[in-house]
Amino acid sequence: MNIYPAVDVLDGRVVRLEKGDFDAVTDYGGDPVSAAKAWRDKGAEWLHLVDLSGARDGARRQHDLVEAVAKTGLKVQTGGGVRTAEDVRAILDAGASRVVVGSLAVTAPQTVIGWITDFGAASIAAAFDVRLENGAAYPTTRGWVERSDRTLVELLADYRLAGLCHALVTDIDRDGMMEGPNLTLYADLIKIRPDMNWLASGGVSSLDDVKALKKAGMSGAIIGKALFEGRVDLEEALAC
Amino acid sequence: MTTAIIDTSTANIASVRYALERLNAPYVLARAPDEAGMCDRLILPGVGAAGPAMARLEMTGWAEALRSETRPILGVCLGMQLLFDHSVESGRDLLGLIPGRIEKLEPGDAGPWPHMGWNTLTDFTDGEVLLHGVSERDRVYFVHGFYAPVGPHTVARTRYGPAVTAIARKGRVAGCQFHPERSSDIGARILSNFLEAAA
Repeated sequence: MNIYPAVDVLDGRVVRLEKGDFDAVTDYGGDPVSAAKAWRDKGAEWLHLVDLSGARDGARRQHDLVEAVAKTGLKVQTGGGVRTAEDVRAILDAGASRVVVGSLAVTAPQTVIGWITDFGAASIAAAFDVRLENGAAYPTTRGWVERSDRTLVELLADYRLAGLCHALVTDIDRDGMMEGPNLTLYADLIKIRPDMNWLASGGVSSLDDVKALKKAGMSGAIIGKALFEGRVDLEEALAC
Repeated sequence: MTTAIIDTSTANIASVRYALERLNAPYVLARAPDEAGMCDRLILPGVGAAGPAMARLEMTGWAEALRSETRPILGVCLGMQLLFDHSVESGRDLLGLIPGRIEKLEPGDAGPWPHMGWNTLTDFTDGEVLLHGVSERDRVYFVHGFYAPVGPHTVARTRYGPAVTAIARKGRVAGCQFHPERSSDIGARILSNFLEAAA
């Protein structure tokens, strides 16, 4: 299982948003490239870079940052407010290995299918912030305010022919809350769609969580807060 | 002959609205009971998880109103579950219009959890008005992880692991665990049976 240290960057600063709220920013300070190098030196292959500036305003997308991180030798998976094919192209041109598409993957699957066709399935990951209702995962959009009429599994059926193979799934009620990932959700998704590479995003708070995700068959785990706050040691996570 | 769709949240209830529009059935969206004054029947759609949905029904006055309601009510999916006494999904008490508890569905070898997909209707209770023109083994569309075990108020079943209450009824209060609004012609038939039944 790949470990993706997550670095959320707002205006060049490493931050964390509590439950996606721009008014609840924790500033971890420092230079994201230094943080990236630190993870690389501990053995990370990938960095999950969230461009919060780009998410708020496409014109402020931090392409230089993607380029600088890619030059460290890390593979960069990055997103935040990706809206157009030009966004995708620019991010890949800056050196990213994979572009994370958020809301549009829910609201405009045909557009995203076009990007998968144009840029290749390896270059696109769809990120789903889901809310569980009666046991079913429903993707949300617009900062978790709106909810899709269809479940995640129903939505993913649209992407089957296009070959979408990377999906990040966050249970929004667990994200950043240090309650552990929703293992039953991931196990159910793997059971229904074993062909997908599932990336757990949010909720990882201990090495045991990492081990459990690996055992469940996840392709990757994105870990932010727990690495920054020292609850999970990256070398141990990579070794488990 | 107007139907009130009880609007429990900001979430999307478009599929129920479109289904009524396809049937040329007039409706209003009613966030509070006084917005349904002109309506002769009520649909409680399947939006949200049990805990938040009940909280909203309590807040808007709908919970109290539904407990003394005399018009026909159709609950859909979660809306059907809310008609019962209690749900383990949230651990909280529900509307209590139909006796029984909502339990977690354990499909075993039947397939993954939650139950998502087309499944057959069986074991019809004779005379159930919602099933007029519907045949045993007709298929409807389910999305749920919790369920009402079969009980005295079950009027149609399906099976996904255990036998599952597909339609429940107690008097004027009925509920479909499946989504009639997403169940093609059979679902449309069930909805129009509800709309055309004597109020």
